Amino acid sequence: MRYHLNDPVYLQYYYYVRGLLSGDWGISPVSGQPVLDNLSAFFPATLELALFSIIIAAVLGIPMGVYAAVHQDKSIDHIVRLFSLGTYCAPPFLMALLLQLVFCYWLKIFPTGGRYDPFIQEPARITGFLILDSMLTGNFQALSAALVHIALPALSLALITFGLIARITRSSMLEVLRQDYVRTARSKGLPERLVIFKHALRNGMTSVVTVLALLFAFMLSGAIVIEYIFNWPGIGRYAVQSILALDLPSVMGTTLVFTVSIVVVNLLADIGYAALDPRIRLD
Amino acid sequence: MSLFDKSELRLTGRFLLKNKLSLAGGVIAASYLVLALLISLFGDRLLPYNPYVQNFAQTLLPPSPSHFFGTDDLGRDIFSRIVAGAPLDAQIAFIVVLVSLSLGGSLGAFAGYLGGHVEEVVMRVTDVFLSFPALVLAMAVAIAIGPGLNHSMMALLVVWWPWYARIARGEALTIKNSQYMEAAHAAGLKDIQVVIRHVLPNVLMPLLVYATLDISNVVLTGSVLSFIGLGAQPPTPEWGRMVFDGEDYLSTAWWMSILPALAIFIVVLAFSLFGDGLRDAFDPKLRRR
Amino acid sequence: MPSPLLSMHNVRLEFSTEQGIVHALRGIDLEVGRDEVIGLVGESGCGKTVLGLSILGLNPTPPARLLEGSRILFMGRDIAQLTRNELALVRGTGISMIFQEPATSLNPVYTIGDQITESIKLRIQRSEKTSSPSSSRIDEQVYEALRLVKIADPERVAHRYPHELSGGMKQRAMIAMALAAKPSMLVADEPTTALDVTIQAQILRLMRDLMNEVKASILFITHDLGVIAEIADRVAVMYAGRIVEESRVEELFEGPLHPYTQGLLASLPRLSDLGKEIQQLPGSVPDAIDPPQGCSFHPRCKFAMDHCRTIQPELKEVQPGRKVACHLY
Repeated sequence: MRYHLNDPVYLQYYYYVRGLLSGDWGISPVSGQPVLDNLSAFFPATLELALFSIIIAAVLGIPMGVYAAVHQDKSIDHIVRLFSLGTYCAPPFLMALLLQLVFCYWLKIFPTGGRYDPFIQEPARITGFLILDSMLTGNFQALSAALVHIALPALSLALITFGLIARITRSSMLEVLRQDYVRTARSKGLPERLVIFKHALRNGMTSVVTVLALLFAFMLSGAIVIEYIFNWPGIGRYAVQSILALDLPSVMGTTLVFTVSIVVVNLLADIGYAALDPRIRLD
Repeated sequence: MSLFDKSELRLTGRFLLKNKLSLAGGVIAASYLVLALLISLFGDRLLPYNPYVQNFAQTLLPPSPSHFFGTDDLGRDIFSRIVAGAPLDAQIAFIVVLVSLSLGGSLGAFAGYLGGHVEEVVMRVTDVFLSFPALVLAMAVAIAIGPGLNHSMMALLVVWWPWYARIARGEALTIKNSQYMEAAHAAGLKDIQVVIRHVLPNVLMPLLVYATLDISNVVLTGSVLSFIGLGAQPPTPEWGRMVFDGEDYLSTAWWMSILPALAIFIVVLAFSLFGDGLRDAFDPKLRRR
Repeated sequence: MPSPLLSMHNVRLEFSTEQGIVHALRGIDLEVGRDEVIGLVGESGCGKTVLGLSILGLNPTPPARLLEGSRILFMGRDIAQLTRNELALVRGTGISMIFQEPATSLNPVYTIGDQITESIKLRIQRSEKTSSPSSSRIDEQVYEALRLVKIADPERVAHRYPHELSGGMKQRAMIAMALAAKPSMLVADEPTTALDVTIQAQILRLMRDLMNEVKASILFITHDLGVIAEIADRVAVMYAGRIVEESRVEELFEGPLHPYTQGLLASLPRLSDLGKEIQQLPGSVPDAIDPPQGCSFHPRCKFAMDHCRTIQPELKEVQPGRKVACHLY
């Protein structure tokens, strides 16, 4: 009776939404835990992983794209294009499994999974982000454990996505470098470095922001495969487990989180556009 | 620019030939398709081993001359399984893409051309679909209809058509406002005739180019669906599923999961390279170089 | 006679395109003296923009190629041979350029003030000043630069973005930016063509007034002979990638020497010609990929002689201060 399962569907829906708004997201029949608790435990882990990965991907991808655009049609350009296409085409599990194989099993540098070493005490939960918390509390043992665990999953995610970033950066920069104002900047006598990184890049970043937003949303929606392989306790893994266990409240909860995070990421992207391009601001 | 203009085709062909990587991709993709066709026609008779028969004396053997890709945890020859599984992803990918292209494309073309409420409704619906990553949506649908390879294909179908509708609508809008549409109207053609005779053929070209690239995406997403258990079920030798089966044995028998994953990679890469070259070939700006 | 500021000798530039090699500049000889405005006039397609860009090496160099033997001497130095970094040192503070379309030539994401500040900082960097001035001092100089181009409220405009200004204001801003680095020479590539006629007149007047205040020479590129008449001291006429006539403005208008110039002037509609037919030059601009042999104007020239078809005329001084490239002289 508690689950209103005998009530007509629309009533069930009504109770569900009411519950959502009051903080009751249902109980997972699998774990017996409230869904909201599970989500709030898992979401920061995914957020941390996504942030780490997108930063690595951007740091790898954007300079590569700029370099390829500046040296268009030379061999380095072709290499970059091929490389970025290759990494984009690789199925997500290939990268993750290869990394796991080489670095965890063969070289034994990194741990095979999980977010943290169960033998080291967790730092106090200030932000929910292990890396930040351990830095803030000065707990370097915890910090190194956290970093070591996040390395491979973040690297896998970054390697899959940086190719697309490089590609978009390259094509965007090619467009921009053709523009008249780049010619004007050169005519003023500015060093080429300044022309590219100050005048050209900022105009080219709009497309890049779009792709970054897209990828970040992708990462937030679990980067399901990566979390699964590395046993990362995030909402992606949670979603898969819930699906396989037919845990409906959890599935609905995670879907909700995905939706909201996508909306938020798009909002942030819009803010980013406005910050980059003054012509957009007045709207 | 009509797709079927002879000189266009010749120029495109010449361009494609010049781009060796695309050509390589095309060759590999074509070989893969031929292989898939052969397997689906002749079945297991072409394979060195039966992909389903289990042999507990031969479990987890590394690659060797007798088992090119080694054996899995149930003693089955992995090479045979990979080859046997070749048509599976191909079938799904082609069906999904073709259906999405025709249904989604037509819907989008109509919506874009007719405008007004029809366009609004179609666009809102596609917006809802497009705001989710394809995988998440496909997963949601797949849960609803249950596991299985055919079910995952249906899930992909449900999820995939909006992209084509979007593109088709965009192209239709451009065409709608172009001058020769006025000519068609002046000639007195009815709406339906206009769409069929003029809008669709011109929308078709960009859609085809997108579709070639899209095959890779479908294969990737489909294999991930199987990887998380929603698609192919054992003992079907679908490549994504094989990766999942082999994951537990990564440290002891890496060939079980890595090799099928590599197979997916090669096929996806081939289609992407070819599709890329195709897209560049049709891009009038790039042809100048 | 003081040495010229800029001296171009036998400058030849070609573009490789899919249709073939475009011979944009086919042996340009041109001199720009100190404190003078020299107009470069020609129809579209004659290569005058390419010429302007080639001085500062701004033609995109994969398709464009400067041929051997081309020399561009600026203050005695051959700047055609410089590396990109060395050339950058000449740009801005030595020679500056303003372009035809102010809307696309200004960076949309930075304020006018920011963009002018760049030029000012560059100038300060390159002069031997040891101390860099405070940012308020630089702001003052930015406002000064804007006042120079007769912008009424420089403080406000400096904080504006290009898209917030009108066409005329944008062009003024671009002139301010080009002059902020205090160059010795300014290349102006059709700066008024994209503007309304009334604004055109304003900008021309501004540039003429600026000549008195700023010690710089201007190479003014345009297709409009009327503009030349207003602003230039000397004029060079360009046809099919070569200079065909060069003289003082008054002398050119009173008595053009080259048949092409004569045709150009004759085709200008004048109020005194009301009721008469507009005279046209027969034929059309020659193909840049496959120009005619000999004198490139001979197919359209009513004075063409036999050897005009085979021998290309040199640009020679036929009267003091007047040069022509024609077999008639």
